[in-house]
Amino acid sequence: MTYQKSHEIYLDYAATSPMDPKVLSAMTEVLAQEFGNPSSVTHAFGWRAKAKIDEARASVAECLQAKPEEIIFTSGATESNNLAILGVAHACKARSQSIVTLKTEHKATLAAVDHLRQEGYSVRLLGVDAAGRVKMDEFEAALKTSPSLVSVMMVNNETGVVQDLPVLLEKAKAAGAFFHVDAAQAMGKIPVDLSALPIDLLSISAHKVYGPKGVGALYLRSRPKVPLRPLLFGGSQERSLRPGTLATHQIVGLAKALELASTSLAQDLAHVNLLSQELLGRLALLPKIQVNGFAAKRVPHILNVRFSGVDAEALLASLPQLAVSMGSACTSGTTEASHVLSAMGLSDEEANASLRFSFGRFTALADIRTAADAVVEAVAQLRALSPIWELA
Amino acid sequence: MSLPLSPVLAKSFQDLRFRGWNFSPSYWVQAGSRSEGRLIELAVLLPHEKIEAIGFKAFGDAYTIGILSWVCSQVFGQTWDSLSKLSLPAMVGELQIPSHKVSAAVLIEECIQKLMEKKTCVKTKN
Repeated sequence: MTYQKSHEIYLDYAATSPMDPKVLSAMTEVLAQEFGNPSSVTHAFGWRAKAKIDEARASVAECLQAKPEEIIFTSGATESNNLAILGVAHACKARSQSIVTLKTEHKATLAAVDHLRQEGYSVRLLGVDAAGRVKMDEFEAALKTSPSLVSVMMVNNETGVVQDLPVLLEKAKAAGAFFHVDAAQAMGKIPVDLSALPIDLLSISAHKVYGPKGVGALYLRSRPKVPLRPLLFGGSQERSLRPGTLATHQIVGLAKALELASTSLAQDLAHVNLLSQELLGRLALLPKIQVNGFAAKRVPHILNVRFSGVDAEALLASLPQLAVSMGSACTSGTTEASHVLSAMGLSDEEANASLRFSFGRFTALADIRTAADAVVEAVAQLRALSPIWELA
Repeated sequence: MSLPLSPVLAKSFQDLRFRGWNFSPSYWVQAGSRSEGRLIELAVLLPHEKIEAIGFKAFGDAYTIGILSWVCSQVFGQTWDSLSKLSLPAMVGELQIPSHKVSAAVLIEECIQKLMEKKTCVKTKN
């Protein structure tokens, strides 16, 4: 299946991934044939839809090495993160009003903890080292506040840096905190085995792993029970923790995407490793480039590269055929550097000189070669134009 | 993220004619700074009252480079006075510059002003 026009090269898989045709097929079948409400208990239309939901739930649980009753379907990782963070914080309010997370988390987490801060909670945003790993001394000090919840993302969405979850989990557990993991960029990309990593809550999304947008899940450990307050009210679906009519086709799509990712994990990993090496090898023809987070353990499908002396937005404009992301965002007249790269100690100029390349199952090696050559040419051209590069 | 550029600006950004210069400029000015994220240089060859050559160097975003390139294309081969017609509203309107990127055009207007002042100063001294 071709998802892009012949001249376009999509290297923004960390933003979203194209849907696997097998996922589309599974969803189409449900959309066409199973329109029943899975909560309708009085007729076969509802029963059949519920059977699809049950099957999907069991499949998602199996991918995580979890139990089906530990899966709550949501609209995606943003909702899962909000439900986990606000839900646990509110449920544990009498015991503790302290929450711990990292400065490099996704905005879905940072905005949720900011909301808690406005409610009067004490929020500790921990720093990271130059490679993007949490500063262990800050982590240990924060645990002394007896937080109800620690929230850490498994794979950073901008840099691909992988946090050392087993170590962090052990320390958080010893401090009596519940442990939430945003695994949106990890699920289906690297092994996630909850029988080996006994975290309490885990957020996942379908569209990052070749599934549809608008669906995700929150894993909620059943034993020991994790207290959780819902964000929404109005129905008994998902044990009243996430009420609302379940979108059968979306949930089937999520399950199919995760099933495919599980079965092809080794193959996908080998493929993106090859792509990563090829891209980096070609970009290395340029002097003064650096991979942000290079010294840390990283996933191969995300590569955040800094091109000294170049503004990433100008570089993007030079590469209209490439779909990649910048490490910055424009807001009200100024270019705001990425909060992730800033937390890693990069200056605004360095952060604004960074591009994120991310790729996946459907990225061809030839596309990587074409993209890398185009980037090398564009960077050289912009540097030739730059009075700063002359000074370097 | 502020891309995509307007068609005119995108075309100007891709226009390589005026990038850098290999002539000995009659006047050369600089505006902005590295710490601001925009540093630009503009050079003109003006043996008489006609701009016979013009070139720029720039470190900055796509708007900075695109607007500078467009300015050069507008005044190349024209009389010196053509520079004074490139007002900020003219640049913003012609290139459809979004409000959060007007600062790039402001810097370029500042650069043009410096250039004009420099010429005036030199003329006065003469």
